[in-house]
Amino acid sequence: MTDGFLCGWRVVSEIDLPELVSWTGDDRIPDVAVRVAATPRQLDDLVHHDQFIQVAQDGAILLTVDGIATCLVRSPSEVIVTPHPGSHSDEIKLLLLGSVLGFLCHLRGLFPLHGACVEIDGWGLVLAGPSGAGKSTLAAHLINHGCGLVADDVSAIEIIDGVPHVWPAFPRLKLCRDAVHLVDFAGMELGPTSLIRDKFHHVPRDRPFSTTPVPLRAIAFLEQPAIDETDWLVQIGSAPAIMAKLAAEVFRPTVAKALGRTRDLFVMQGAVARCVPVYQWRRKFDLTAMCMWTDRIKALATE
Amino acid sequence: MAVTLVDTIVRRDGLFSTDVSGRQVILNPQGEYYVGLDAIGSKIWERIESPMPVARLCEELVAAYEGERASIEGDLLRFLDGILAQKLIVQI
Repeated sequence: MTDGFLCGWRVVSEIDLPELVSWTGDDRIPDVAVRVAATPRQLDDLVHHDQFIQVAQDGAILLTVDGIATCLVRSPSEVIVTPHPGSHSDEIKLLLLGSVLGFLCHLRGLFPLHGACVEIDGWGLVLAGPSGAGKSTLAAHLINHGCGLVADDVSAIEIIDGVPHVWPAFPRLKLCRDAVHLVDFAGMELGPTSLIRDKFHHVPRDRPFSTTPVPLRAIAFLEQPAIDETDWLVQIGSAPAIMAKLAAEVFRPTVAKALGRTRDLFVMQGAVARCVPVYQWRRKFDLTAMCMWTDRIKALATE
Repeated sequence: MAVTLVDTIVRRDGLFSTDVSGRQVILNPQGEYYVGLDAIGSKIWERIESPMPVARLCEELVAAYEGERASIEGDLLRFLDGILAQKLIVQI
């Protein structure tokens, strides 16, 4: 049983989630309860369904990954999990701390941006981009250079008093095998278990994990350069371009649309576009390039 | 059909628009892309939340901005044709 913190919520889970920091907040009723129980194969009154996901008219979401688990997010406060025979708990946790986290963000009115977030002098910097763009690797590199970890794959944004903040998720980074060799992990503890094949968990150990939301100061969208193209970083000045970039990296967008969040997300995108400088950063995905850019990138969050 | 001074126009119902640093950004009706308006376009957008005769809109712009009436009128009609083509407004 876990009684932990996730994005500001008290999460009580029958599935052990050691990735979460322990709940030390008030004595509230859990914001999210994760139970192990039977789940239906099919929801009624579907507004969306695809190979893995069903979304019902009442907002319930059913995620089924054969061989791993079925997760029913019945409400913003209740998740029911049915492990499939032979599944590994790490694989189930991957679903809970990935897709299900994204679903909960949508159900709870947050803006889940597909990106890692680090904290620099009290400010948040989100490294956004598609899978494989090097978000986590870069976050690991910045953590080795004095930054704090806020979130890995999903940055949960809430507009607080008009200012976008990122809620801390959990103090783990998920890195691919190649990335492990790219980054000097002097400041990190290498996780003894892999969450999925060829993925390694790393726990920053030099500083405590803060549970306070950090005001978002900058977003950098990561891109790979073309062959022979030099690295560059440019602030996106066009508001429609910023809105489009943000929309492209909403985590689990089809579920958001099925839940009727299009207007809600649009409003939040506008708040982010108003308040937060957004950059397009095209750079080579290697250690030399990361070292060359370290100070410049850290400066985005403080200048 | 091109917008003329005898038309009355209004924003298309159900569109999402927001102010980003004084400039309106609008999601097109199909939800495919975002349209950004410049400062004057954003002012016009604010004025057509309710049905607005184009002639009256033109008079307001002539009063608010320096420039030849014919030039302002031409710019306004071109702008309205543009956002009509984007299906952001309707003629009523």
